[in-house]
Amino acid sequence: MRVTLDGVTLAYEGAPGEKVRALDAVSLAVEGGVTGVMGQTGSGKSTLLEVMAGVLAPDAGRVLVDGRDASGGAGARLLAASVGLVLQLPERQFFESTVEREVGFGLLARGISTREVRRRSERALALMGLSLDELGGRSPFSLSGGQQRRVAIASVLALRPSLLLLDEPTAGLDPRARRACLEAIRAAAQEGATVVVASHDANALAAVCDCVVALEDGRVTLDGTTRELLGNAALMREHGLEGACAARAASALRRAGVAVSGAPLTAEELAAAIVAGRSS
Amino acid sequence: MGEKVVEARGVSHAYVRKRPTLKDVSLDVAPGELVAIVGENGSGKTTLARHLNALIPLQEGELRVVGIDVRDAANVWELRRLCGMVFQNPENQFVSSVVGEDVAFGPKNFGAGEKDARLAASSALAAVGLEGLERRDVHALSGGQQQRVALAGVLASGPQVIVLDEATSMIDPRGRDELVRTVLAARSERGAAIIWITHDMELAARADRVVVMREGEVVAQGAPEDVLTDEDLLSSAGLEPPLVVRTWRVLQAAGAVLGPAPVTVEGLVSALCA
Repeated sequence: MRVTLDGVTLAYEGAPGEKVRALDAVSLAVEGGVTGVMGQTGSGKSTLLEVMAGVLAPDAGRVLVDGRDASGGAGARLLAASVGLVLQLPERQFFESTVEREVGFGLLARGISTREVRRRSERALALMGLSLDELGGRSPFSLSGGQQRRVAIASVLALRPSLLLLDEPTAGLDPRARRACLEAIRAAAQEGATVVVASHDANALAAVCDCVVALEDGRVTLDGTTRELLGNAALMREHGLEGACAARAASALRRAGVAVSGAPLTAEELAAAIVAGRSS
Repeated sequence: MGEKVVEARGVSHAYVRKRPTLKDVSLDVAPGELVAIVGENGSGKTTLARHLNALIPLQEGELRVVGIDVRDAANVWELRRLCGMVFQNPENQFVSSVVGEDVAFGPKNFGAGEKDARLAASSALAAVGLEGLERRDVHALSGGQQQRVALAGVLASGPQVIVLDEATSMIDPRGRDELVRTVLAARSERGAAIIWITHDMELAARADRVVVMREGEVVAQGAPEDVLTDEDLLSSAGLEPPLVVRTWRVLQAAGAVLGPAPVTVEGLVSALCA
């Protein structure tokens, strides 16, 4: 699915009578793959996802899905049927008595057969490294924090949205849960979904994203490939953001006079860049 | 002064019978020490932390914090004054929406008069770099600022132990760096011991000591240079070494470097410049 934002502006009322511009003439397009959205708290990341999801309507500008205006009619119906939105701390929105009912809720609401619901729930949970047999009968509220987050994400993955939007999906997850979450995001993109992930976690974004945009005060200030942005720690720092850990280490080494080539994103790439720097 | 600010001996706990969340945990923390506790979700880190100021009653074992037995109900408020906590989600820990009132709540609650509480609050806000924000609405602040307000609320009561439970996981990198700086300053200026529960291995690498928990047990503890370079240990606890260590292993395998792996970026820089 192709989603295009064309000059989207949106303000909300902060203090009474005081308008805060959350998005300011934002234009961007996503189609397939995984796009990361970076920016400090209050930069407009969550608002951007909510506009893309059709939850918030822009004050000015347009949102197009596959070329159709999403503000009404066929475009709005297409967006509503295609989008899966994982909000921050999605586990706070649990309301069912068991994990199986929680994950299956959206599917049952769409009139899908119970057998198919079970199959898809099982698969979505497995993608997040969880087992329906093991957890299906338990109350979602009895699970650990990491398990709750993964159940909440699985309940959206089970709908197989062609537009998957996630807000801070890895915050507070331990390494194992984080890895499962990142792998599930990649898998969704490989199956053809257009995925957008808003996050503070530069390393998580470096691991899954094809390209990245940065927001500052509701404006797009950077837009490039993951390597161009997260691999360039100095550039990210200039924008008050953080590059991938490997890129930050490379930048610290360069400042200390050690030759390091390229824009490494992983430990392996950093090691290779150090070796290459020595022989040059 | 061999006095410890935390002395835990054989602490065990279960929310549900036969499903222990803590198993025979023993841990000492010295005054002014920075201890990182790492482990998977569900390994018992938070349960252990909540024992330290009697948020969870001790079921089994011995636990003294700043010399106070956590079972001593008569001293529970003094215990909470001396051992303060900052949690993961800043919005969940405010008692007032006005910054100054929120920070003054602790001292007032622990028996300070109105004026002393306000003075303590102002001084604590200055210590976290938020002087003059007394009358602001906490919800109008950034996540990083909110966490520093929470920290100021702890500092205003004069703690000797500060426990931070995943306190950086919901805030942006700038907010995280500000919080880390502020906590380290509180430690050096006030001599408070810091217990930092975190999934962030880069942060754990800056501690004096790293404690690894798995399934309710402390499975290892020691200097970051020892614990965070032990891949087998970390992987058995569901953890990964910091990126610097992983990079060093690749360099070692290629015969490009010799010697023990550094754990921080600064350590990597000095190892490669040597």
